[in-house]
Amino acid sequence: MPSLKRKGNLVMRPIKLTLDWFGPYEHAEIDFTKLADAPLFLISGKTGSGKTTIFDGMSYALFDQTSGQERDATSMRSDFASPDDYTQVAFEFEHRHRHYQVIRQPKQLHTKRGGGVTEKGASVELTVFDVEGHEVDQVTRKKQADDMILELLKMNANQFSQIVLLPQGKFRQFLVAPSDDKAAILRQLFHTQLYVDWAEQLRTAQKQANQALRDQQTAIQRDVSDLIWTEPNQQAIDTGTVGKTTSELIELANQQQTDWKGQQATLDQKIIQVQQRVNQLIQQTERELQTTRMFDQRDQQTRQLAELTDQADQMKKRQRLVDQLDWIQQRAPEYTQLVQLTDDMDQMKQQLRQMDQTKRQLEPELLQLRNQRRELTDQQPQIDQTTANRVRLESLVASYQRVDELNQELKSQRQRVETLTKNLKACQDEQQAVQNQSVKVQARLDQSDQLHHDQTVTVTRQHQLERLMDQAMLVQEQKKNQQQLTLLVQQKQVEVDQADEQFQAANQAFEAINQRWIQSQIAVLSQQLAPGTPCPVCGSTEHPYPAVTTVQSVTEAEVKVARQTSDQANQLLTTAKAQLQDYQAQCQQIQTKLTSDQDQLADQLTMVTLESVAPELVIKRLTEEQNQVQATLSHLTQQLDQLDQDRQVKQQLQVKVTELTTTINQLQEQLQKAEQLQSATQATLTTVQEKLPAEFQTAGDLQVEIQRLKAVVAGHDAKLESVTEQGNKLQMQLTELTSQIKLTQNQLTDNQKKADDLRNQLHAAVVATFNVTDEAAHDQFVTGYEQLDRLAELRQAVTAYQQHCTEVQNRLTELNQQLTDRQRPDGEATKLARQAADTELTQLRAEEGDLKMQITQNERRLNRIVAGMNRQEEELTHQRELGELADVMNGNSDYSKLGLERYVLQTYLQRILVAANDQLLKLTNGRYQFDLDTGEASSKKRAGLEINVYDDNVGETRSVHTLSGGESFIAALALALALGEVIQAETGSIDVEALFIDEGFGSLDQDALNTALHSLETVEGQHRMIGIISHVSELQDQVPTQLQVISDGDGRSRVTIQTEF
Amino acid sequence: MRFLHTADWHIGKQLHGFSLLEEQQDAYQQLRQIAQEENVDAMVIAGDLYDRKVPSEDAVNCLNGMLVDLNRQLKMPVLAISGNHDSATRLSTGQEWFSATDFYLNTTIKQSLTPVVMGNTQFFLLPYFEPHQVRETFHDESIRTVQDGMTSILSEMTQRFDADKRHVLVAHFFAAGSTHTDSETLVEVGGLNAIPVDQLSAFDYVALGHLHRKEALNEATVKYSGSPLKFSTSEAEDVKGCWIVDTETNPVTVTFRAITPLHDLVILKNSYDQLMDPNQTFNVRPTDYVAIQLTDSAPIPNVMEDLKRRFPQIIELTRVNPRQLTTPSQTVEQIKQNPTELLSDFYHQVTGEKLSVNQKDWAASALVKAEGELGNATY
Repeated sequence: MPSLKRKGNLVMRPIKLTLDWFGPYEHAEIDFTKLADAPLFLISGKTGSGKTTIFDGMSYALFDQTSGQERDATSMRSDFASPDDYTQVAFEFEHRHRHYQVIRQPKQLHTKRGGGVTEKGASVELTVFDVEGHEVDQVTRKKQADDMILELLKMNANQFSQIVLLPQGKFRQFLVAPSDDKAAILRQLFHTQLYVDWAEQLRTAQKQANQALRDQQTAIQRDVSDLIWTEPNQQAIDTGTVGKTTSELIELANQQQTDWKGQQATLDQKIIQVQQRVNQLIQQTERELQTTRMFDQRDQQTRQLAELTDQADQMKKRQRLVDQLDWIQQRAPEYTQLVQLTDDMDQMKQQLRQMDQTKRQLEPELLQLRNQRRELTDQQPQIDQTTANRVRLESLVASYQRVDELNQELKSQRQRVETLTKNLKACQDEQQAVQNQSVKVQARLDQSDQLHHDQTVTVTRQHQLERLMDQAMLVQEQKKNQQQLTLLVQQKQVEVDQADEQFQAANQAFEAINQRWIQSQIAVLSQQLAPGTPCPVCGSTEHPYPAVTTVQSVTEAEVKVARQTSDQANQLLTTAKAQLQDYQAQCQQIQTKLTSDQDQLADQLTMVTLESVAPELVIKRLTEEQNQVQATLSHLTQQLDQLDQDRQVKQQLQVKVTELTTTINQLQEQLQKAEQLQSATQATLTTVQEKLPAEFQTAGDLQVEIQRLKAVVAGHDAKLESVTEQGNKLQMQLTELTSQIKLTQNQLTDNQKKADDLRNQLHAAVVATFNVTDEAAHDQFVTGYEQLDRLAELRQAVTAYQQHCTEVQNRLTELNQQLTDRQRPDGEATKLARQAADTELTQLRAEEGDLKMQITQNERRLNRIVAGMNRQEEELTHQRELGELADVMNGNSDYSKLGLERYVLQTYLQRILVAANDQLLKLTNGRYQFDLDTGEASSKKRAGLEINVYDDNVGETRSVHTLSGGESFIAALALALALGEVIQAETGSIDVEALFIDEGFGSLDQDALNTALHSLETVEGQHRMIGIISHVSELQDQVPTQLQVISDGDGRSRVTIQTEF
Repeated sequence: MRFLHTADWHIGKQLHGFSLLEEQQDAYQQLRQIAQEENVDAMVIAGDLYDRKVPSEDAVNCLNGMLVDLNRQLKMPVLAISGNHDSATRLSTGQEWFSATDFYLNTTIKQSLTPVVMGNTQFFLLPYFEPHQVRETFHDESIRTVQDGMTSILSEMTQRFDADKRHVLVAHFFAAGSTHTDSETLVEVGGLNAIPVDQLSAFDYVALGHLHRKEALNEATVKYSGSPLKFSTSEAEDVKGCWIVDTETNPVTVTFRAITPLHDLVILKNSYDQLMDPNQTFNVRPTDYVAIQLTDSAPIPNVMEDLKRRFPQIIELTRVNPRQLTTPSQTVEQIKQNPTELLSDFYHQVTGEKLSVNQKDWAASALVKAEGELGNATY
């Protein structure tokens, strides 16, 4: 199946996304044009660094919703934003050669001017630019902007997130979702809501039909129970003599109807009879009434005739009046004419008077105007003079202007002079100050010698103290030594004593042993003494008493040992004694030295005036003294440093002085120059001013005068003109008036003649007819004339009377004829009879009415019941049919759980699967294919849209739920991409030139990852910008173009774009 | 002098999950043998020594063993470069000591500018590079493509030419006009710039790595050695080996020496029955890697399991005529027809009966109502 082609120009290309204080971004700008060069780019960053937030931003900007819909827009404001910071997302994109920018801000707290915090509402601004960048439109109302975006993209937030951003794990959901959930999504995409509604309508109809059927049955039951029964029938029913089934009851009712109808017929007949009687009575009453009336009429007519006869005379008089008025009427026109003429004449006279008056008014006016004109003309020469003056003054304007200029200049120069003077003074003051300062500094510097001297002295003392200290220390040492030595001497003494003891002992021992040895030797010798040999001791040759010893013999060695011991002891003793002597000598020596040193020290202390110090406290005192001296010394050093500084300051001051002097000189020069300039200007000014007229100080005044002159001239001219015009007008008027007067007078004369003639004529006629005098004729006529309006009335009255008379007479004659032999009837009896008959009739009628009603009602009910029962049959069939239709459509029937909508959606889903298979086959090297599960579903929830996957390696189809993580990623990807393609082809929504896949790569091993990347690379062949969002580090090595999201560690992140390794 | 030109060892690579270390060891042994037989003075390895930037320990052991054996045991000088699959930095560990035993492994452009002189030949060892590296080396911001980069590098190199010697370039890139197989990944999942062959005319011989088939380029003195092993099914028919280059002659003499793989990669195209038939024999050893192309189109239950019993090392299983499973029962156009007709068809399909007149009427009126409501509803 060929892959679905995209509609080339319906493409939305993202350009730039700017996030301010949104999520972890204080300010992040993402330029998509940089990323668009690469077919695939990676959005990398640690987990939680804010990668998905970028899409939340895009989705929010376009649709006011975040992409995952788990994060609400207001909560996307950065946590670390302060009320001064403004959370805002701006997204720019291009569509059909137009550039759109949508800037959206959520509801947020913000500082208001003047302190405090206020909640600012959400706002949006959508601006449209044409291809040259000129703004074409801007929308700031939310609904309008949202609608506009929806219309442009032809997709809402949900679809956007399905087509453009395949969010974390979500696109896998579609793969494994139960049919109901899939149906919900597909329904929205392919607009199959109609089928759902349709099925729903039928279901409603089904329910309604069922209800109707039930209602019908209820109605039938009601009718049955409403049937009216006669007492015996009712009893029979109650006691059960008659069965209660509908058909039995119907039969009984029919029977009852027949009986009742019979009864009704009898009643009808009776009624007819009574009715006839009543009619007769009515007729009789009628006749009687007539006759009575005739009698009454006759009486009336007689009365009337008498009345009329009384009026006869009056009527005759009236007739005569009528005749007179007739005659007057004939002459009326003449009279009117006369009156008219008289009126006209009066009017003309009036007019004449008016015209005359007017004329008399106008004549003097004209004269006046003439005079005025003459006057004005006389003034002309003066006016000319005025004009000349004006011209002259105008020529002076320029000079005045010059004067103004000069004044200005003078002012500025004066200012300059002032400034310079001020500056000069300032400098001089400064100079003075500096010099003062310099003197002070110098004073300080003069002290330096003294300070140096002090320093030297102090240093000397310091040295002295040091030396003393050394000595004191030495003395102390020596004392210590002496003490030590004393101790040693003592020790040594003890040693000596000990050694002595030992020696004594050893010596004694030696002596003893020696003695023994001698004795033994003696013994030996004595033994060896032979007579004759000389005794070694005394030399005698006789030995009478050889020594005998009882002493134990001792060897020479032992004696030697003893001697050695003794000698050693002796040695030790000697040594010890020597040492002792030595120490003692030393001790003595030291003592001597110590004493001498102490004396020396004391002397020296005296020299530095510390003699009163006890020897033990010397050192302490010396230390104190040293510290003091040190302090003095540091103070002095400080002061000397200060002096150094002062020296420097002195130098600086000198420099300053020199500078100031220079400046002062400069300023003085400048001042001089300025003053000169000022005087020059002043001179010029004076010169010019002299030439000007005194009465005008300024150009303004002059202008005023000029204007005034102009006005005077203009006024004069204007007046002259108006006067002339008026005069002419007036003249014309007068001429006209005169001619009109003449005309009117002529007319008047004519009319007078006519009127006179007419009057004479009329008078003559009246006199002839009425036979009156000439004077009374007019009055006579006029009186009659005024009464003419009554003529008609009078005539009519007379005629009427006559008619009436005739009528009455005739009527009377007639009545007499009719009543020739008749009597007045008595109506009472008839009336009574009639009343009785009426009552009877009414009664009968009521009876019949009741009966009829019962019959009719029962009839109606019975009909209804029968009809209903007949209909039931038909209705049941309908119900069954409708039920089946509705069930099949809704998937409720036993045949199949697949409703109509699901059936339709299956086709769409299959189409998607076919498109997805293209991808999937490629990605899994021909191993996997999607297949729609067409088996019977266990429940409606899972009916019809479950997806299976065919594994070629196993040759079987199994559910997608059995795919491993990596496999299901690839399957879901293929499905999601196919879904996107189909949605676009179907809904005509525009391509967004970007596709973002959020995570899902972490669960893939190396091979699967390679396959996934390879698949994306294959997919991108459709010229889209594809972005992968992932934290997987291997991807960072493999994809060079990256949008790196770097978390700074304190909840903030930033983005950078890397376009190559 | 004579040298052996090889490349693209990809030590540590796996073929559809099978480790190839054993085969790579065997291939190496054969190359070693050839080097001795041909009496070469050096071995040139033109990049992609490892398969991954961070190779496994076994792989590292393996390559270390080979290099030590070659350079220290056999005392063979080795001239190598890093390829796009290697991590230049990691590979360069110990570089400073290598030259003592005539082992030259260049991983930077700067190093490549100084030739290694051996006998009568100057070897310029140029590792795989990217434009920004050239920019940094030459401090020239105008270099944006590999061709520009190559131009700058070549101009530097030619300045160092010794006119008395031969000049050989060892490099790792895609030469314009070459074809590639499935086993070479598109480097940055976005394509690779190609370098025109005429840019390289200054050299007497160019030893290239990167493409796995020597057949990819057909030039006299610009050659890909190809990988020593077959790494994908598209290489199944290739003869693998190395080039022996002699620079005594002008032009240089180039001979091919083949090596036989320890375990071959074979493509079998046949029907399932035939493949499973015990009486049928195939020229395949059990240790060979087999890519099976089934001629059947019907699904076969447990096909992989069964085939694996006969051919234990199946790396791929595809169909010659892939079968499209899902054919929609109706097209979308049919769906979009008159709803009433659609309903009739659907009803008939489900119940086997036609709609009665009454049912049609009801459906029609319900449809009108539904359309009306839909028109009023807001989305």
